[in-house]
Amino acid sequence: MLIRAPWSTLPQRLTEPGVLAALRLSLLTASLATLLCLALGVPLAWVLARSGLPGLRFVRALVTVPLVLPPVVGGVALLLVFGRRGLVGSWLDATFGVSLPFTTAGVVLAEAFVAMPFLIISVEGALRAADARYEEAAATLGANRWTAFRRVTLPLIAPGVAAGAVLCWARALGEFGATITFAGNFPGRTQTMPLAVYLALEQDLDSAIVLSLVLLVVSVGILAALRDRWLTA
Amino acid sequence: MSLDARLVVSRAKFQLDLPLTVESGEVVALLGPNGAGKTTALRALAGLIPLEGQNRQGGNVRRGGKGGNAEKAARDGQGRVGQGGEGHGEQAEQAERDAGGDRAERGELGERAGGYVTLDGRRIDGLPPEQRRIGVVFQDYLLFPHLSALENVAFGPRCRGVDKGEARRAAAEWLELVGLAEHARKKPRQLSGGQAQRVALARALVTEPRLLLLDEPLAALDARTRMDTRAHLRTRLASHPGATVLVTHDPLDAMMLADRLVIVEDGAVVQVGDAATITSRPRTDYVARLVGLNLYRGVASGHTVRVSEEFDLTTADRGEGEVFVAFPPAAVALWAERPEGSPRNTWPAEVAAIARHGDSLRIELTGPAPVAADVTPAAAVDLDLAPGRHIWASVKASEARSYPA
Repeated sequence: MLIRAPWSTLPQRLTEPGVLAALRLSLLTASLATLLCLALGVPLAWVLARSGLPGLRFVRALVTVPLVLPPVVGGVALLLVFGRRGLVGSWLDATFGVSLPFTTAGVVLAEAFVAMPFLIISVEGALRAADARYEEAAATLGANRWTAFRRVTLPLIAPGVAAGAVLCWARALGEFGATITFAGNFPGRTQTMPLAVYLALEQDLDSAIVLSLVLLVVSVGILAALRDRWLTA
Repeated sequence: MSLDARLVVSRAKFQLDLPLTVESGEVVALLGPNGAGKTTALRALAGLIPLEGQNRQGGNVRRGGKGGNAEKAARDGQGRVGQGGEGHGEQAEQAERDAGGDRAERGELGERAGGYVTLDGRRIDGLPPEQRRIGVVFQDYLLFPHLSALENVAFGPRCRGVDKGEARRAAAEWLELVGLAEHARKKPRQLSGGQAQRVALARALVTEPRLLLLDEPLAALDARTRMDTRAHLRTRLASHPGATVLVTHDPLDAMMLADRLVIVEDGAVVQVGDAATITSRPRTDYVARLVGLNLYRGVASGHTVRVSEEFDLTTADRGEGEVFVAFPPAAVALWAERPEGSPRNTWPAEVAAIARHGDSLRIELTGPAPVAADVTPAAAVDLDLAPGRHIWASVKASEARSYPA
């Protein structure tokens, strides 16, 4: 890819408005998807690791389904649930007038759906490795479950959460199948970098190579920076 | 009456049924071998094993009249053989218990608890741990590794709604009190074992708990630190106004720290008393070994106790019926030949094992009854003691004490 790159025309190609817009959208949606995964995934991981409720095996299987499911199928599933006539989608539309498919929010949802298992598996592993008796000690000191989780468990599993978030973010950044199925390919709104690469590939190979290079450099750069700061701490 | 509890926990291969009362300001030690259920009892008191209501246990039936041990025995018996023909009441109880067991297996810990915990006259067994106003010092302390010593101690007050500055001031005071003011900023991994123990104690006491629970508080320390920390703990416990329950398998810890000892074996109380009573009048082999006495059970008739068909002991005390006889190993004298004179309390024995015991040697003897004897190394050489050697043993009647079983 480095060899085939059109180095001479690189500056012009990079400043094309579509490239920057796609890059900005990619970074934004990947970050939002990671936040969504953290908000939903950490509590779910806690339930999986600690609650001992019946039926957890089923929930765990369900959570990891996006790992083995082709992302396009995931996109179809999302359409069926959140589409304008879907189970939740029709209700959202009727109640709030909100429609998720083919919007930026839809991109975030699609990316979060595909990336969530990476976070949950990572956090659940960290929770299982952490000594649950610290939570008991916190309880005897008067901490309710939420306080114990926030002030004791979360700091203990922070490295695991950070690793999961990075993996989750990286997966979301590269997400293609579910996004194009559920959110479509509208420049500036739902066209993320991978989608832009795919589109460029059909018209102009050199553009596709440039876009791919940008994605590669950005991902490697950010992952390297995060790794140094969080994972080796 | 500060603490009044009856802790009932049943697991697949283990039953705990432990009545326990502790006055305010009193320190009670649960002493027993590993696996006796001491820590389970402590966790039940702390609410870490939830106690279920008596009704769900069929508690009315079981709590009626019979004592804890008899009850436990009855349960064990049923658990093994079922005793199907004992009548409807028993069968119903059995069925109810089976149902309870199934419920528990589906539950979080696979444990089933019953009984009650009353603290200052108020039932607390329905409350979660955070609402019980208790303090716990765990065996390996469980100091939060990401918080400094000060923040660890301030954690309890913070959780109880004290504002940050006030909590830190209280924590600093307590660290000062346990002699660790200059270590306040250190993380737990930078503290020595003894220091961590004191931080854990300060963390438990800063919330002014009505009930303080200590789980093997000195077990993780080396011998030297242990002595210092034990003395320190003793002063702290003496000034603690609430009730204290201490769990240990070390008789020295128990006797130094506690006002009263509760000996627990196989999930049941086998003996209760102060240190002097326990050490002079053990009632089980475990306690006798702990305090270093030879213990026998027999039938007394005046000064003579029949331990077995071929073994009679003459004792200093008069007694009738079932009694225990106890004497220290140092009271046993060994002879190469049958001693002349006093024919009482003399029997042939065989040396089974020899081990160092302080400055002397402890000789384990087999014969009409197993006996431990302490002799000086010089005497051992004189007698040419070695495993398998046949000798004569004797005990002065004045050294053998008997007391009702």
